[in-house]
Amino acid sequence: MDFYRNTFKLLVFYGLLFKAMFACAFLDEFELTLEQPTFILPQFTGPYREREASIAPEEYEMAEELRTLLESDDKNLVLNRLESYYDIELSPAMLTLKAQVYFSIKKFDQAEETYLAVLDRMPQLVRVHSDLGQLYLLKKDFKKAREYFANAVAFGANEAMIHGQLAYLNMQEFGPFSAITGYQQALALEPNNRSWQQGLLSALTRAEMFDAAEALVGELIEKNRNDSNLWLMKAAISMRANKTQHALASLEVAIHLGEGSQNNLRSAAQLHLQQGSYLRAIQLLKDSLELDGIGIATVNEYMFWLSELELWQQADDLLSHASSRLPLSSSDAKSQFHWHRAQTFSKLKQSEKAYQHFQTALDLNPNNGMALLDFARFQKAQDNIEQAELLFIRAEALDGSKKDAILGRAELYLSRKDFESALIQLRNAHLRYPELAALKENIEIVENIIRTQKLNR
Amino acid sequence: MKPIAFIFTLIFMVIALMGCGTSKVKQASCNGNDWQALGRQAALDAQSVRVFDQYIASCPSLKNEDKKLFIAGYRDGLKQFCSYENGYKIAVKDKSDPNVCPYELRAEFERGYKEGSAELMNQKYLKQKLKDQSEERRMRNIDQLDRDQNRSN
Repeated sequence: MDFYRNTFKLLVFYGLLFKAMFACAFLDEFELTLEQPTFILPQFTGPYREREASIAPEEYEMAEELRTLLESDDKNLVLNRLESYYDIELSPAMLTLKAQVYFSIKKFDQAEETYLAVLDRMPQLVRVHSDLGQLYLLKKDFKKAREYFANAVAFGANEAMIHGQLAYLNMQEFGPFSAITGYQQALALEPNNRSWQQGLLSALTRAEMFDAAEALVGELIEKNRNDSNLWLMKAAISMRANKTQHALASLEVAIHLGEGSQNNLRSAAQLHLQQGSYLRAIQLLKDSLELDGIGIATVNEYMFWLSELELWQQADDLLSHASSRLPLSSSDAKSQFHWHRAQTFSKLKQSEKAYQHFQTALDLNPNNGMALLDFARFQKAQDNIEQAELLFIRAEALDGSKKDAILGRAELYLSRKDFESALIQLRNAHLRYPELAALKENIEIVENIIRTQKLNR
Repeated sequence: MKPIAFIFTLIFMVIALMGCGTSKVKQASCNGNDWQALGRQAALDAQSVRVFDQYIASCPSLKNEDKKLFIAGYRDGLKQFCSYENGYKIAVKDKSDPNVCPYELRAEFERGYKEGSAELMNQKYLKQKLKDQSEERRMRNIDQLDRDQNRSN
């Protein structure tokens, strides 16, 4: 039970953490959506500055022409114009523009090459470092992305986006402590940016700075009490700090505010199960079964929890609720559902219903190994020994249920004192599964019994 | 004009005209070139990067990699060429600004060129002044001689 509780706690925590900390697109799957790029067409600024690029005086006319083309979103024409020059003939600013156009039309390799050519000429161009950082993020080369964002910051970049992204990459590569300052700086520049708030919370939580994380999320909740996502974060932090009661309370507020993802409903249900509030747990599980995309795997999981706690009445309630709602398309899924129903009725001593559902489960999928095994045990309990034996034999033919079936049949023979047959089964099991240490001892016991019987005859 | 002198003059003119028609690019074969070194040398010779167009035109087997090497060499060559000293030297030799330095390297080269041009103008001014002084002296001498001659007559 301890193992179950620990595993359960971890599952709840990671479930919550996943949803809460990685809720935004940026943090979630690290999927950057290319926005319409904003072209910063540099102006001729006279004196040359080290960290910024300006166009050469003779490019002024071309710059005006390109500006018009960019405004009409004619990037290919812009590229044609720029590609008519050797790169070395263009000022670093114009070359940067060329790289940006490549970037915007997703010609990432050319963009990379061109950006690097700019840096070869002007190694301290902040914008190019940050653009390259973005490019490598998209190419999922996180090491290089981090390197270029770090360069951008080192050369004086002070954009929230750069600090935030550097912080995220630092967290991936070096852990939370290297990310906290970056997120703080990003947040200082953009205090209302959700990504930086979540990033900082995530970093603080991972660094186990729970007080700071709780204080931050508390402050955010103060500003927006109806934000369910913030309550989820609070729940995740409480969970991490082993405050399950607080976690559940926050989670319930989030659900009350409209949070209804399957992950979170299920996490809340798990916490309620852990705390013995079964009614609410079952209601949450029922709610989660109403969601789209729920399949038999979810039912299997819920049934596993309920069977561990031997909550058969609640299991029956849940399955009855699910029976009309679950879109079970395959006969295998339907078979599994009937197996659960059969198992529940069996535990509730409703033998007739159990029998019917076992039959239906096997009609739908004759190779449902678990149904075969449980049906065999059910038949054995009903004293239908021959039926049980037949079902065990069928289960033995299936890889997933072979071991339990061999042992089940051995047990069946032992119960009817057919020691010879039991011995054959045990030896068979020992041959196939030598890792089962207790078998050897059992074989010896049965051999002794047989020997004694023979002597007594 | 004697016939032999005419023939030499003709040959000289033909050679001179051929020289006008070709660029300074060192004709190399299309294969087996050290493209990087060629690019670098082109920059050091103050040639435009467009000199590579001639290779493109005459070498169908040219690869993109060759171009990249040439440009890389050219870029390196420019880093060396576009210095204050070279700007100064070129101006002092009364050569025109080759306009090959990229924008970020241009400032130093142009400073040298400007100072070299000023130096050249100074030298020209001094030469002219010396020439004028010498002419003035010569004229004075002639006047003196004339006066002496008149006196002796």
